[in-house]
Amino acid sequence: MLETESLRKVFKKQVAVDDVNLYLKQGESVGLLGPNGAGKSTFISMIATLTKPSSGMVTWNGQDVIKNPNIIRPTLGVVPQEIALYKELSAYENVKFFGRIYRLKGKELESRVQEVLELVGLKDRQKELVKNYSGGMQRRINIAVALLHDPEIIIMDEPTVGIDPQSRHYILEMVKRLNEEKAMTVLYTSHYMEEVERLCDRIYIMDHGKVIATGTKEELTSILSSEETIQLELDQPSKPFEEALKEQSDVLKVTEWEKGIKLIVAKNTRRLAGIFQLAEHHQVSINSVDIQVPTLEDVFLHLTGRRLRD
Amino acid sequence: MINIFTLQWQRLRRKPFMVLAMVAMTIVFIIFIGGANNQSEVSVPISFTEGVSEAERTKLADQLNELDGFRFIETNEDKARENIALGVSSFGITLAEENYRFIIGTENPNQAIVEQYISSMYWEKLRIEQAVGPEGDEHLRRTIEASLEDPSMDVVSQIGESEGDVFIYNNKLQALFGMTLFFAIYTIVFGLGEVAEEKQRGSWDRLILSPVRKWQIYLGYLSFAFVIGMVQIFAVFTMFHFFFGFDMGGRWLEIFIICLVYTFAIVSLGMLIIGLVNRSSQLNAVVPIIAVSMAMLGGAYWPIEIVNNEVVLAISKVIPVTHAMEALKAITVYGKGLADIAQPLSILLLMGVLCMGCGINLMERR
Ligand SMILES: Nc1ncnc2c1ncn2[C@@H]1O[C@H](COP(=O)(O)OP(=O)(O)OP(=O)(O)O)[C@@H](O)[C@H]1O
Ligand SMILES: [Mg+2]
Repeated sequence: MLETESLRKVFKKQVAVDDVNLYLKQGESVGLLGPNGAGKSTFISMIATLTKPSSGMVTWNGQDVIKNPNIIRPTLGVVPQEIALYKELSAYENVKFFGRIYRLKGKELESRVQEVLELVGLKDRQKELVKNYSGGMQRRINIAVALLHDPEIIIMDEPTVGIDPQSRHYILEMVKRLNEEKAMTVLYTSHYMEEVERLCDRIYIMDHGKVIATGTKEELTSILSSEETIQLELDQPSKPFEEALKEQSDVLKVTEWEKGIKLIVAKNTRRLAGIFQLAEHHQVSINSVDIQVPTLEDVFLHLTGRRLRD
Repeated sequence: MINIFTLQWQRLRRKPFMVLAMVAMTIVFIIFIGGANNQSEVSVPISFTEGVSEAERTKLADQLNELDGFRFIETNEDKARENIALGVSSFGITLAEENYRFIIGTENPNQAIVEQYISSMYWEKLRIEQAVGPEGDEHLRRTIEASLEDPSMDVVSQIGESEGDVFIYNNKLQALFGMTLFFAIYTIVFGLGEVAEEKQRGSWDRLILSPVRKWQIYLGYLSFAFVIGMVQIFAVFTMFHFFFGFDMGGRWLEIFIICLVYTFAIVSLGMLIIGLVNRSSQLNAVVPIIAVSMAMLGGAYWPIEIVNNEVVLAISKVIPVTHAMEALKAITVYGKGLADIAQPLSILLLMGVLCMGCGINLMERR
């Protein structure tokens, strides 16, 4: 198990990572969600032993990683946020170089290179120069290199930033497969909540260097458990109907929107029957009803008062 | 380490333009400045005052013409003045028994070279004059002159002082050494600049996480920069020696050793620069400034021997180019031995070790 305890990094006066506690059990897939500048990359770089923390602990199976980085390095596959490749070389040459660096030789090297190229779906185009690849393909090779030495844990820093939907889909599926079929432990960083929702068993939400919420997706969204939104689409606006809704005891707030009325109500107080009765009474016909369950985006909004991406 | 070393060659093969451009520039500049053919001698009109005897005239002219790169042509003073006024020559000399006068049209660096040569020539003449005395013992004069022509070991060491003042100007070798050392700075430092780029790109982190040790990574880069610098310098040297008729003498071992030590010093200096600037875009701005000023102050563009400014001379002492030029000329022009260049070589080595230490330290601190 990989664990951090009050991990902290201060640059000059800015606190980039502020007392973060996180753990990563074997075979788990964990997401780290946060807006730009939240401190995700800095945090990752510390657990990957590339940046020295200002204070706090990182342990791997109980052993201190900061004192002795070599106990964790061989088990880590790190996919950096930037494309850390030699662009004037071909994909094959890149992967092969890093294979050699990992002391692979001869047949073993060759077969391993082909294996990871296959995994990222670029086996057919391995002879092309990386600089001629699309952004998505470069990202895939960036991942392939991190998988060469068959690591136990893979740490990915925003591996889908700025790429086409097709490559993005491919990468997400690949990570899911690695996690499910090869039981690889995944730490996945992103500022796209859909990705994290889809891939990860547990999620940490970070902002301004702090973990502001953590848990499974259900646990997190239940932070907003007390409320839900009912959106009604109406034939025509009706003031009396709106007034009548406001009288109802469970209705917390009534607002208008372009096609009708939005209600915020206490959760699980199924008010629908009552609402329909009132509508009939005021001779308003309801075209559609939409009950909105909160998303991680709403959770983030609720916790910070800001959206994940602006 | 070997992997990182070979990787750099692999990358160079894909992006060879920078290095090829440097070699091409070196060649162009050497031909331009040094003159691949012999036509580039500077002709200087000389004239004599009344009192100079015929025998004396030929002797002085012969002595003057021993200075490489110049041709001294006897005319009368009026003709010389006319030529200078017309701009055919930039300066001329009027020679008398015990002194000389320069007729100067435009300022010209060649004039300083000639002046230095001629002053030591007269100084020597004066000494002989003094030794012989006013009575003029012809026999004594002959003996002194003969021993100067064909000096025994004793004589050489006795007049060592004035010997040191005589500076032999070899235009071709000056250009060859100067330009080669100058352009090698670019190739070496930019070759090393990959380290800075690597750190920005994040592939450095990949190497750090791998089983390769940090010193092996550094060594891979350093050895690449070192080898490419050596290859460039030697490619140019052999090319000019064998195909352009620049006579470097045959002392290749000594020349090789000097180049080894110089390249080491520049690689280290490169490390220091990269440690200081830390972004490769800054490197592109800083390297030309450093290379050009080192070449100017270190005597790669013009011989440092013609510089009189104390400040410049003091600065030149801490510039690797100065010492490499000195050593190369000592071997090829002055025919000295390895023992004589021990000092410049050890200064270069010392500079190398210091810069390397500081450079790696700075890089690691970041
Ligand atoms: N080397 C550094 N020196 C100074 N400040 C830094 C350094 N690295 C990061 N920071 C600062 O620390 C904060 C966190 O940066 P970090 O890169 O970890 O954020 P991030 O969550 O990865 O953001 P992004 O989504 O943009 O990648 C930022 O405000 C950044 O400016
Ligand atoms: Mg980041």
